Amino acid sequence: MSFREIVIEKQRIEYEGLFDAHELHHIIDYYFREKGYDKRETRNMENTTPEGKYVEIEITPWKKTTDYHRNIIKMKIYMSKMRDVEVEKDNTKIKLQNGRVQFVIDAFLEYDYDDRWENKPIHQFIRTLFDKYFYKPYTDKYKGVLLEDTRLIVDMIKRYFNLFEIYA
Amino acid sequence: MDSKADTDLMAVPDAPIEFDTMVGIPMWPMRIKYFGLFDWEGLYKMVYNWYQQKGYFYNETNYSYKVPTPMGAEMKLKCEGWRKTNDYMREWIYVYYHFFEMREVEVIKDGKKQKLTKARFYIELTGMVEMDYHGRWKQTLMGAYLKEFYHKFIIKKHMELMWWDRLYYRIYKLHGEIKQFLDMQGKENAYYDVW
Repeated sequence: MSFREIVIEKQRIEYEGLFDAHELHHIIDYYFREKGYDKRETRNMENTTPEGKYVEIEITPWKKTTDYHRNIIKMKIYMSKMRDVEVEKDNTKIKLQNGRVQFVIDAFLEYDYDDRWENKPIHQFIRTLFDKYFYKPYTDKYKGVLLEDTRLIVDMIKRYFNLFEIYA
Repeated sequence: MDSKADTDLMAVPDAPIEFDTMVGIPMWPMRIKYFGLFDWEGLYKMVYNWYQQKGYFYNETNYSYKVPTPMGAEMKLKCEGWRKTNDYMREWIYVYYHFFEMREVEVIKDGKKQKLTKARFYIELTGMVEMDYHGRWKQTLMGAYLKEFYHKFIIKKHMELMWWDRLYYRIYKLHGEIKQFLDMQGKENAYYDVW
């Protein structure tokens, strides 16, 4: 089985208030497309409850950076107690949602995603040796790219919610 | 909220797909879960029309309905559609519906009475790119070896990057249309024009 290194673990963003759920999903989806990630939606659940809608979305977009490395960003979006509200903005009525949103974001760098170096113990040993010593500068570079991609989307979400941000 | 997911951090369910080069290339399943009011007849017609418009042969392989309880009925429906891409490969798209607590309710929408369905359900979409669907190469042992060699070393990249990818995004289009029909919050599909 391929090896996955955690680059970002459980980064959370929480928000409660008014937002546009479609637009938010649109921003995230377009961001990953622009960055060249392939789409993967592992879960999409919607439940209508008396308190409002409960939505769970899990996406794990991935991008093959080389024949050996793959970036995976796992993003879970939980929206709860969500109700549709009409708001007047610039003399036009718009439909928004009021509720609670929570994001949990992980980022992984996957090595040997095709399992080419898994069949024999000696292959695994060579692979580990190369990963740890010979390819380390390259691996660090790929990790940096993944970190950057993840930070940018986190930054975009924060900007969307008008939250305090330190990364620009 | 995500206590279960917290424990299985590394269990990202997207391990590399094992290409059974002798049969075909399977897809990861795509799931939609929903609870609420919806138009079942409209959804069924929409999926059926989608298959028709894209040129797939539509077939229902399993339809089961359980006698309703006070909570509602349970229903399962499996359908599949196939299309020949060329003389060597064929695309399959499978849709599986599973409804629980299914009840018909009357609602008034825009001043008109409408019959809708209230249920808890999930829809699973999968697909497969079937290779050598005529089975010409598997008749002899030599043919089978040649086929394996052809798949593993000659057209492997083509299988992954073109055929698999194309079907993958085609299924995502159907996935997106179902979400659109149900008017779900996460109905956006930025990849609508891929392939």
